Amino acid sequence: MSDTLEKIRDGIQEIFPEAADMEITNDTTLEEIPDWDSMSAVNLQGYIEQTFQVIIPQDLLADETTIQEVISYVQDPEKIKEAM
Amino acid sequence: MISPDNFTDPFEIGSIFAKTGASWIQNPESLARMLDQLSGRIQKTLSDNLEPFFSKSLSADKIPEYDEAALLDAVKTVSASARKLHLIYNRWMKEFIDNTPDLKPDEKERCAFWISQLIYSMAPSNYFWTNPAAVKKSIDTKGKSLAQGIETWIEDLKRGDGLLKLSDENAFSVGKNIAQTKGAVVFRNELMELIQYEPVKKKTWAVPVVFIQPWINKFYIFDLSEQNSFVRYLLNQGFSVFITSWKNPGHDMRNTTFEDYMFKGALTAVEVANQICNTKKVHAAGYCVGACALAALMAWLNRKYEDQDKIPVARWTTFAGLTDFSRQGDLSFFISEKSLPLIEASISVNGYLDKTSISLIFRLLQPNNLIWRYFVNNYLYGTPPPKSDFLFWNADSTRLPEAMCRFYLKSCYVKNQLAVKDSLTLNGYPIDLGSIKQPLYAVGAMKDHISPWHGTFLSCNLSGGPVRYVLSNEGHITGFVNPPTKKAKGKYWAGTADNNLTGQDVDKPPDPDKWLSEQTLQRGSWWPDWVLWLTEDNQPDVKPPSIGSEKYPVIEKAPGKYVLES
Repeated sequence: MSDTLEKIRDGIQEIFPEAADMEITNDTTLEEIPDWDSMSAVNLQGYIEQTFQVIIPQDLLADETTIQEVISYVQDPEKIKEAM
Repeated sequence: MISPDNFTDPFEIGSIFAKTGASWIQNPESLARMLDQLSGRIQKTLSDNLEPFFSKSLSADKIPEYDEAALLDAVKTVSASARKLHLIYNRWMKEFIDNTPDLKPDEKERCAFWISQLIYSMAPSNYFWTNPAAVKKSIDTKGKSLAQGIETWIEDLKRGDGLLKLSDENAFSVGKNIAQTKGAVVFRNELMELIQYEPVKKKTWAVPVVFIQPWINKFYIFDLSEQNSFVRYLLNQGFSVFITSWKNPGHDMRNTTFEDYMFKGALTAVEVANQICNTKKVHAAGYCVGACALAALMAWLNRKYEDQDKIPVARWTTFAGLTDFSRQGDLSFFISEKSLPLIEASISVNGYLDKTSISLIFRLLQPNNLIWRYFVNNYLYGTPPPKSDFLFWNADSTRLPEAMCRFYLKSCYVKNQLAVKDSLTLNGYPIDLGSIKQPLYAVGAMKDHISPWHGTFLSCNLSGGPVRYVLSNEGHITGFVNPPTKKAKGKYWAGTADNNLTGQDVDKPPDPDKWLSEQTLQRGSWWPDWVLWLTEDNQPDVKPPSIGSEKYPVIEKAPGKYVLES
């Protein structure tokens, strides 16, 4: 498992206690996370920004965003600009 | 009648727990089965997850030397198991409450709500030794992160409001990097400032839009950053836009009533906008409690004026608007006949409902997102809260004046009088929402805990005019601050919702779920849909109005002074 995926997985399990037994893979979409909503998206956004030091707009953390997409934004912030 | 219980157990926490317990004691066999299920699940999780850990660490016949990696490894293993145990307990507790014999559905909901507060607080990530990231940060910083967390905790204690900081307060300044759309205060009275925004198009739509904002928070939720500003979006669509900014009440405003907000606030805003734009009617849009006031005002206007030309609103819109409070969501756990005496006694001390109480209630509605996440971040990690404009706004709350608060809680939340024809008389006229003839565009949000969409749907059906209902798949804020950006992946459903047009029996209450099943899912933001609706009878290509007028000259630049009052 990549370091980025592991950190994102850790963050999700911290923010969403009900995701404790969820298998989080690159293909997991954010809406699959139990209790996922717009308010928790703000918290995931804060976690990602603090952990990876990238500014990620909330639009990019939508229901259908996959973990792989989040990883690509974190690893290559240029992709954030392209996506917006 | 007021009893001691109104003060010792105002939110019925003790009584619902006692009733749940008593119900299970009456059914010992079922209780034993439930406990057996829990025990089995816990044993399985322990054997699956902790056996490798214990066999490795306890079989050693010598005490290992201190090793950071081994410590972190152990913390991760124990934390993962703790999270799974917590999840098992959480799920079991939900089943336990759901299966409680002799408990009515609303009692189960109440019990589950208060139990969930306890369960969220027990999440392993909220405790240092079961939060690997907190332990790692502490090791990496040689304890400085924990020291910083304790310092933050002491600062919070000294501040004395009992609320965690949600956002880096130094990162934002109202009027500088949020609420920065250009405009001017064109009217001010003791209750409200009316802001008119500078047009950005050379030609505008004739009928202006007037936002009646809620006074439970500051107005600028519709004007945060440039990319998610509702105000800026409408300006870009060629509208003249006005918005109310309410005074944050102190004890001197204790007698300010709901009617004051309707007439000195909403109606005055509409009249000033009409005068400045030289129009006879505006499109008025109310959000949350602003929508409730606007609905009451629309009913009042329709009762007062038989001549429709005299009504100064062409079309009206509600965002998260409740007028039928029969489905009021999780707020009902705080506002009830039982809790009202305590709330009333509390607000009578200073003449207002203080902002700490309001903030605390809203945070308890989402404890995981608005309490525990920041407990971990601020105290266990020792890091400052994020630079979030949205969270900054969320923490910038206001007070509610005593008279208005008493009326709103009692007449609307507890007695649901606004939904009953002529049950309330406001400013001399009985209020009948069915008398409203103007077209209504009502927006609800599927994940809204404060104004549940079923309630907003029932509310819009009380209106007598044609209704277009829109359901966003988001929450109380993001369902409405919903900009149509390139990557916007929002979803919504939209369609006719009034009984007269859907063919439903007008004597039966409408069925929100049936309505939803008949709509087609649409992707993106609903804002363009609203613009289409606003422009249906609107005249395009009009010269933009001046900012202010001879009668209402510019007082000062937006965002004015009321929004800055703490």
